[in-house]
Amino acid sequence: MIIKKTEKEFKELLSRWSLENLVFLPDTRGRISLFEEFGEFDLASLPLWRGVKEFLLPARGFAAGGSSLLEKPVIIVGARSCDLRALAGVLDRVFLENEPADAVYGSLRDNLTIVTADCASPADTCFCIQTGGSPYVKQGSGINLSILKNGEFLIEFSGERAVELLGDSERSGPGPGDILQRDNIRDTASRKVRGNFGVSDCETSAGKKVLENDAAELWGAVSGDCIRCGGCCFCCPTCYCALLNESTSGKKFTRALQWDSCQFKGYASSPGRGNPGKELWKSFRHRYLCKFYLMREEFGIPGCTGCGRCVQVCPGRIDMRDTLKEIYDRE
Amino acid sequence: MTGNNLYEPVRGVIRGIIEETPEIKTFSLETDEPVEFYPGQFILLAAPGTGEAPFTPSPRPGGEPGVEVTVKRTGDITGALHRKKKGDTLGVRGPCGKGFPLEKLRNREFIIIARGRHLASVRPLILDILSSRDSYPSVTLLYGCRSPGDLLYRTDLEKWGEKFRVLKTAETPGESWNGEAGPLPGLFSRLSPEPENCSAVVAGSPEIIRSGAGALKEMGVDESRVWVPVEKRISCGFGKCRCCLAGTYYVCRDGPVFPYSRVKDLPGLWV
Ligand SMILES: Cc1cc2nc3c(=O)[nH]c(=O)nc-3n(C[C@H](O)[C@H](O)[C@H](O)COP(=O)(O)OP(=O)(O)OC[C@H]3O[C@@H](n4cnc5c(N)ncnc54)[C@H](O)[C@@H]3O)c2cc1C
Ligand code: SF4
Ligand code: SF4
Ligand code: FES
Repeated sequence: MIIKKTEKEFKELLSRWSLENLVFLPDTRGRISLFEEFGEFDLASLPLWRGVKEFLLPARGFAAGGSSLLEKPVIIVGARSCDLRALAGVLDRVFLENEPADAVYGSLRDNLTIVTADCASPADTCFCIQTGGSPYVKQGSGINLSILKNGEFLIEFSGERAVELLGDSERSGPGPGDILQRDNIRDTASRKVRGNFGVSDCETSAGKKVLENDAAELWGAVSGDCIRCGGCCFCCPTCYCALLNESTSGKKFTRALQWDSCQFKGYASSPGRGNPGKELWKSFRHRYLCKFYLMREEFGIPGCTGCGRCVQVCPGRIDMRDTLKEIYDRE
Repeated sequence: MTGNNLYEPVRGVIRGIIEETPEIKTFSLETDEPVEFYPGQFILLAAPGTGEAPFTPSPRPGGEPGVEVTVKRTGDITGALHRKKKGDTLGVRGPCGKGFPLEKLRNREFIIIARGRHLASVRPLILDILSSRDSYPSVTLLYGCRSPGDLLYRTDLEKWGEKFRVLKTAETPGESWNGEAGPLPGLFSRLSPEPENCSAVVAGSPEIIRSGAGALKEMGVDESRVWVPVEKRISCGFGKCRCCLAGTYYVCRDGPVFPYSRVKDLPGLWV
């Protein structure tokens, strides 16, 4: 079902949701913040900082059951198609579907409602289409927002939770031409994304390319500016590598998964079994192998949704697309 | 695991400690909740405040609730475990992994090759053999250790020798040693399997695994019927952290025992 709201009506809706839920959405700095605290939002900025991942797998973990995010239902508004793809395609598979399920993740996930938004103006760093996605959600979103040129919102929704959140609101349907306008905006966005990266079948072909190319010389050349900060993994919506750490609270030891990165020197090493990442180029290649080959074998989609975050954070200004192009050019 | 939290351990109280060798101790742990495992699965044992590491559990004798774990002192966590006394509390998580496919090992000729502390990895399997002796028509165990002082499960080995063929060797044998002398691979020539009807387990360092599986292959035993326990860094134990990844396999979830054919060429696994 599709309804239309003005910006004012939409804000009222958010305020109403905030009474009983923790409502997060991108603020005017592009960070996902609590609506109640910030009051303003900017659904156009990209990519979103503080990804959906952090709500489910925070950097330093939750001590068992101790998350303030469980006090009320959480609604994240404005998550992108690439975020949803990472969530449904990778994280939910690992933590919920693969037995045994992670109950801590499960309780946070159950408590979370995601409202997605179309990307009307993708960033220069976006390449979701090339990795098999699109700048708007094609399926699987309970509630999706499309912003029209005059600032009005088209809200498409289905499912119980969506009806609960939107069911009793003023129901005006889309006007004549609104759907056409939405589709035109989507087409323009798609064209922009296609122009961002020339390898159009990256989704299916990159894994094999990385697997076949393991020359130290090639990888050494593309990884030269990497300082092993791990930023590319931490900001990535599909990366979930972690180490289980123990912390003390009073007399009690508690456990929590804390983010790890395959770009760190000691990643997956053990004195008994060596250090796979001793050499920088091997760590660096591993990330591409993991995203385009290993994860694709395991999940059926690559572990890169083309969100472009890693391109934006890298202090070495390493652009994943440049690395891939370099590999494709070596025939 | 406690309740539904995969990462919270149950309490295991040390009820007995056997000093097997100067470097190896076997701990008998009584756990708050039963730990029901299958031979070849592993558990995560925590020395509170230091950390946890993976070990292979065996049942406690007499079916008492809990586990027995044999630990070689090699570093921080194993060092902390070795300092523990009777009555001290450890954390126990698991069991994790798949374990040995007993149905594929039973009712055929069976060869076990193990060196040093890795005999601990096959001990639960040997206990299965002893408890269902009829299912294993022919069993041979080749065991190698550095010196007589490093011999693991010494009284058990004697008893096992009464039930099936056990050949043991020490690299530097002393006066009183009643086994063979020299490195473990020296014993491989004593095997004469019927290749079509034979399964095997090789447990040891990567070198031992390679040479054992290689020798068996030369004797005609297919690499898909040679099972090897793989050791990788383990953190979560349940396929949630990726740190044990070997190719597309998770050692913690898909292993830790694999047919040699499946893992022998995985890059980086045997570094
Ligand atoms: C599935 C499995 C079953 C095992 N079963 C046994 C057993 O029954 N008895 C036994 O004595 N040992 C066993 N080990 C090896 C044991 O886990 C290591 O000896 C132990 O982790 C060393 O920890 P440490 O802190 O004392 O050593 P350190 O050298 O201080 O280790 C530091 C880190 O490296 C990791 N590490 C070191 N060596 C290994 C290794 N060989 N494999 C995996 N991680 C390692 C540790 O977990 C720790 O996180 C097993 C390993 C695996 C993977
Ligand atoms: S963000 Fe850049 S510098 Fe940091 S680890 Fe990743 S590639 Fe290396
Ligand atoms: S690898 Fe980079 S572009 Fe791809 S999903 Fe991760 S952060 Fe986004
Ligand atoms: S130990 Fe975490 S995935 Fe295997």
